[in-house]
Order: sequence, then structure tokens, then C-alpha cells
Amino acid sequence: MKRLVLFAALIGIAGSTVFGGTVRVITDRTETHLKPLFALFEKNTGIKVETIYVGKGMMARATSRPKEADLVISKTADNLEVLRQKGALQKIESDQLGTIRKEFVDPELMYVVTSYRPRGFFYSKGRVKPEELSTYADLADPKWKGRVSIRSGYHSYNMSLFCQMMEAEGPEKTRAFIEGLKKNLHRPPQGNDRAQVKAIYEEDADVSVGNAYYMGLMMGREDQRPWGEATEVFFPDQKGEGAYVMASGAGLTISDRNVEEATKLLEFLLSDFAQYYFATTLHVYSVKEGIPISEMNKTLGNGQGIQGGEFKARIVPIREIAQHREAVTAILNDVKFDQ
Amino acid sequence: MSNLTSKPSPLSLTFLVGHLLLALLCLGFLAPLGYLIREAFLSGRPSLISEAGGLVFSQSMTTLTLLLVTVPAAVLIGTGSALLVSRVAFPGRKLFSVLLCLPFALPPYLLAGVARQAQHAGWLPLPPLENLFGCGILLALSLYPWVYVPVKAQLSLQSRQYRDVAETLGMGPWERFRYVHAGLMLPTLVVTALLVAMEVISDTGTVTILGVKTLSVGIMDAMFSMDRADWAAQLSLVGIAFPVVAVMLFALWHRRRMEYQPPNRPAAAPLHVPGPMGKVFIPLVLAVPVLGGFALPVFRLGAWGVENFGRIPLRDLPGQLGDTLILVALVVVFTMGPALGLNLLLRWIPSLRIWKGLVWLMNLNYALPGVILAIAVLFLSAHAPESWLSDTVVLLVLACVCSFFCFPFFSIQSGLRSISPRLDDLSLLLEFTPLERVMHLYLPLLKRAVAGGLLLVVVTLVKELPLTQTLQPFGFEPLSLRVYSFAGLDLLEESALVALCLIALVLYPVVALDRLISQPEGQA
Repeated sequence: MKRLVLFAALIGIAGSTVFGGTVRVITDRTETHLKPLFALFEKNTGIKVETIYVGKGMMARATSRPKEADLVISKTADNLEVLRQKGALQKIESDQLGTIRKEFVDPELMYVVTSYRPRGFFYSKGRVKPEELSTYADLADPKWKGRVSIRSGYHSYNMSLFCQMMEAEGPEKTRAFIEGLKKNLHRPPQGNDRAQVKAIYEEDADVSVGNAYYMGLMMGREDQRPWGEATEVFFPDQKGEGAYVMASGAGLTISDRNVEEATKLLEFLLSDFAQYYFATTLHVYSVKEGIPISEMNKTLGNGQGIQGGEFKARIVPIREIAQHREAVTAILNDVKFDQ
Repeated sequence: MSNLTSKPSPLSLTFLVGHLLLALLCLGFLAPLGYLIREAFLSGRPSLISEAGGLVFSQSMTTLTLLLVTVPAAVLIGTGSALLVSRVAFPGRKLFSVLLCLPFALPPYLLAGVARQAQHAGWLPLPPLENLFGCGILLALSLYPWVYVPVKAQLSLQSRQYRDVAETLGMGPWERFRYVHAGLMLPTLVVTALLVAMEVISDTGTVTILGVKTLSVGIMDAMFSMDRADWAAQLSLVGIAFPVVAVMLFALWHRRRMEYQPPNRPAAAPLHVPGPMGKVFIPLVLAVPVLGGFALPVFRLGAWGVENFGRIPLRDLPGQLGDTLILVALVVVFTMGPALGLNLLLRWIPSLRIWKGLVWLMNLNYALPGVILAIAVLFLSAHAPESWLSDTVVLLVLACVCSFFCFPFFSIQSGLRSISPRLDDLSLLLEFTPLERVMHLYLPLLKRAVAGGLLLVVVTLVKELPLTQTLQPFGFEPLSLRVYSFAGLDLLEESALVALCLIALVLYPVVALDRLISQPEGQA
């Protein structure tokens, strides 16, 4: 199946028309994740991709200069909604959007999710049984006191998680979760998602909150493999509404210089080939039906009885996530989450 | 100052142009600070103190604790090693004198990245680094040359006569150190400690890699995660308060003290000859900061470079090197020129000294965390033509000039103080034009000061990160960006050769700076 998809995609690309021109991309995503795809796109279309990897400054750039780039690609699709609200995006006109699962396309076609990954739990294989874990809310239970690890509450991944919870479960439950989680932390939040898994490996914590695809990335590195091997991924709330996901996405800016080229690049990112690339090399999940899950991801959740990595996802509309940022920030400040 | 140079009529062209130029310069340089103050106090939204006072307190305390670890450690390493290489005759003294300044060539975020990867992979039995103490020690290893080089220079100015006089007064070695050498070193120590403190406060790379939540991380969180520019501005002002208060306290303390510099090249102080144990022990002790701050990380990068040679394409490297050099060249030109011009204006037209306070204030830009300075520049230029930002390095150069202006400004200011005002009178009597005065009088005498400021700009700029990261135009990627993007991902092996290239680029300016500052006039 995988080979078939790849073959079909390559034929599709090989048969595409060579255009020429330039497209300018601004992104907060990691360079190594996008560069190979852009190189292939340039080779096949003749369209030059000029990219700036701005990191955290992407939003400041995109809001102060909405026309300097043609395409915005963000690792947190919530940012695209903020840009839409600030009038920095324009409607995408592409038939490709019809091939994407409906919940991943903005109702007004202002941006589109390009891939997603569950924000689940990593737990110690030796010290925690998967039966002990269940929902996000359960992680706030006093039985986990001093055993949980998480990165800064203000980091965009956690902000997105809390905002989705706020939208889906309401402010009371979200506040209770954040308060309980804070009480159960073994140390004030610090480091990135992988640093939390390392804390489990070093037996400082038993459970951490993190994006599941880090398991694949850790297992691919000699120095971090022991951390991955000491832990397993748990998809929360599989008997209920499902695990919250972090969506990456893209949108066209209001620049009118290279709309056609930017649309072509966006279509390429949504093509079967690029979706297959995202899924198999970055261990994320595709927004299209029929794209296989990576071999690594197929092992995730085995401990809780999930087969083939096919977990139940709770998709919260991106439009509803960003509006809760202020309320979530207030709760985080109230409970002194990072202190 | 003599009459000939000092009193242009209030209606003369020189007077008016001078004031106008200074007003424009102050306006430009103070604009980022103005933006911060506007955002901090005029946003009309609840302040960070009222909404999350605890967070500000916690981040301030973390910053303060980091300062309390880093600054004393950097001062201790810097002063201790400077004293040893300046005052004690041990094997390899001259070699160590140079080696000890090499960690200056390594950006702190690169050291943190290598150390973190080395610890994760178990190459070195390092204690946990992802905490305040680990971060403080790594920063100290990176930043101690800020203390070492100037203290070594100050020690080279302390002549043999001091020792002779102190001995005549019956002082023992400890009393001599306490009342003579330490007293003379103190202003240098305070200033350099302040520089280290400013570097720590504005650091974003190292603290991010090691997960330490200082004010600069809080600023990024407020700006990028919470979308609260007002809170980011308020935190920045808290961050600036640290160096401002420290500078003011130092100024108050220093006000009534006389500073004596020997007019001529002093006779070198005699070297203390240690015993056999000392001859072995001292090089070993001095090897620690050199190994930790430079040799081991460079060796590790070299090993990665060899392992990956041929596997990682280096086709972008010439472009990255070119971008770095272009940025350095432009920033050097646009800092050195205005710094010299401003100092000369202040010297020639005494009435301009009413601007002195503002001029001092505009040099505070260096204390602004780079990320907030970058955002201020971004939003201040929101109405400029779009292509300014996306196609050229104009904004990046402007931001770098704002940030690094203080180096050449203070260096040239200090150089000008040593030029007698009588030379100005003489040049006027000889009917030199202002340009002739600059070319034939000041520049030859200011060579050392200009070179010092220039080298400092080069050394800090090549390693600069937050401004470049936020303001990079399309198709522009200096070496520092490439190195940091991989350091943050624990993938330094992928950019080891680029990192080595960056270090090689800074190495000569670092050694030249050390020689320039440490050796007496005429020898450098």
C-alpha cells in the first residue's frame, strides 16, 4: 500500500507542469522537516521557494508585515486563526481542499491543517501500568502527586491543549485539571517535551504530557533512544471523547504577488506524497484518508490495547481554540503553574 | 576645554546642525525604548503585575539567582586567571594568557547545546545541566573573558612602583592586594561584572536550550504564547531595571573617587615565582576554563564534523559565511561612523552636553533583550515600504546598530579623553577643516580605541542571535542562525562544520582584542 501511494505520488509529481516563479514562505516549523519537501517541489515545478524559519517570532512578523510572505506555515494551527482574525490571510482557492477531511479545513477556506499529532502521555514501562491511566482529568488526581512532568504551561502546545479543553469541557473542568496537574508535578515545568520523557527515564517522574511523535524522533536518535525505550505512549480518554491533537497548518497571506505559486506549494503539502512524507518521517498523522500510519506510530498505545496506532482523536475546531488564550493564561497565572 | 573649540554662537550653523543631528540620533536610538514604554503603560489592559505578579516575581528571582551564580563565577574565573597570568611565573604563562580568552569565541548557546548533547549521550560525566546552577556555570564559562581581558589589561597598568610604595609602608602581600591592587581593579571589576550581568539578562539561547525560565523567556512567552505585547514590554522594563540600578549605584559610588592612570608606560610589576607544586598546579587549574569553555566543545564539534564530512552538504556554507560578513561589515560601518561623529560633536560643542543623559540612555539598548528590541523595530517600521524588511538587511542592520552602538561609543569616548584639548586648539590655529581634524588628528590618536570598539562589535555580532532570528530578510541566513537552529534540536552534529566556521571567524578578532586591550599603547 505504502509503495503504491509513493509510486502514484511520484508519477503525479513527475507529470506535473513546470511553472517557474517564486513563493515566499514564513514558518515557525523546523527547517529539517520542510526543506526536503521544498527541494522536491522546486525541482518538479521550477518554482523557487524562499523560506525564513523565524521560530517564535513568526507571529510578530506575520502580523506586522502580512504581505512580505505568500504562505504561512505554522506548527500550531491556532496561530493561523489569530492571523485570520487580524486580517492577514486570504481565501484558498484549490480543489485539493476537497480531498482533506472536512474538520481540518477552515469553514471559510482561510487556512488548512496539514498534519496533526496527539498530545498524550508518556509513562514509565516499569513503574506505571497502562490500566492506571485513563483521561486527562485523571492526571489531576492526587494519586499522581509528585509523579507528573510537563513543559511550561505557556508553551504553545500546552496553551493549545488547555484552550481545546476549555472549549470542549468548559472553564470549570479546565481550571480543575490545571490546578490538579500543577499539584502533581514533581518539579516546576521546565525543558521541552523530550526533557519530560528524560525525567521519566531518570526516575524523577512516572508520567509526562507530550506530543506522541516525539517517541519516533527519540527512537531515531542513539543518545535519546534509552528515554524512548523506558517509556510508552498512552492515548488519553479512548473510552470517552478521545485524545486532543495538535494541528499544524498553512494559509495564504494577503500578499497578491505569488498567489498561484503559493497555492501550488500548499497543494503540494496536501498531496499524497507530502502527506506520506509527513506521516512516515515525522511520525505525525495525515489529514487525508488512506495515508498509512508510520511503522513507529503503529506501536504507540499497544500497552492500552490500541492496534496499528489508530487512536480516537477529539478534534476541536481551530476557530474555537484561540479565543480561550486569555482565559487560560489567567488560570495559569492564578495557579502559578510555572513557578 | 579652550575657547577656540568650545563656543559656537547659539545661532551659528554648527550649533544648530549639531543640536539637530543629536536630536535625530537620540530620537532614532530611543524609539525602541519609547515603543516599550508605550506598550507597557498605554495599552489600556490590566498590567502583568496585577494579573500575574507572582510570575514576574518568580522570573525576576530566577534571573537574580542566575545572576548570583553566573556573575560571581565569571568574576572569580576571570579575575583569578588574570591575576595568575599577570603576576605569577609558571610554565606556559604566555600561552595561557591567550588561551584563556578563547571561550569568548564560542557563543553561550553553542556551549550549552554541545554540553547538553554530551551529557545526554554520556560522553562526559557531567552533572545535570538543565537547571539554574548548570545554566549559570555554563554561562560563566562562556562569559568570564568579559572580565578576564579587561582585568588583565588593568593589571598590566599597575606598575612596580605601587608595590614598592606599599612595601615601604610596611604592607604584607595580603594587605598589598587588598589596599592597592584590589582597590585599583575594583572599577574594572564592577564594570565587567555589569557587562556579564547584561549578557545574562538578555540571553535567550542558552536559557531556552537549558529550560531555565528567566525574564527573557517570560518576555518570549508573553509575546508569542499569550499574545500580550504589553506584558512583554513590562517584563523588559523590569529586565532593564537590573543594569540601570547597578549602573546608577556604581556611578554614585564612583563619583567622588579619583582614578589614576600612569601617564607613561609603567615598569612591569615583578612576577611571583611559585614553588614546584604551584608550577604544576596553576596550569592545571587554568586548563579547566579553557577546556570547559573552549577546547572540549570545539573538539566535540570537530569530531562531529569529521564523522559527518561528506554526508551533510555544505553548499549553503559560503552563502551563510557571506551573509555573516555582509552583516558585520554594514553594522561596523554604521556603528563606528555615528559613534565617532557623536563623540566629536560632544567634544567640539560643549552646549550639546545637555543631551548627555539621553545619549547615556540610548546606549541602554544593549541591555534590552534582543527579542524585544527586534519586535520594537518590527512594529516601529510597520509603515515602511514592505520590501525594506523582506528584501534587504536594512532593519536587521538598524536593530544591530541600536544594540551594539555602545561598544564603539564608549571605546571612542574613552580614547578621546586621553587627547589633550590643546591639540584641538592647535588644529584650529592651523586652520584644519573638521574633516582634516578627524583624518589627521583624531583618527591616528584613536586607532586603538576605534579598533577596540570595532573588534567588540565583530565578536558579539557574529554570535548574535535574537535580532537575526526575528528580523532576517528572505534569502539571508548568517552562521549563528544555522548553528542555533540545530543546537535547539540536539542536532549539533548536523551543523558542526558551520559551528566551527563561526568559531574560526571570531577567533582572530578575539585574540586581537585581547592583545589590543592587554598590551600597553604602542605594543598592540
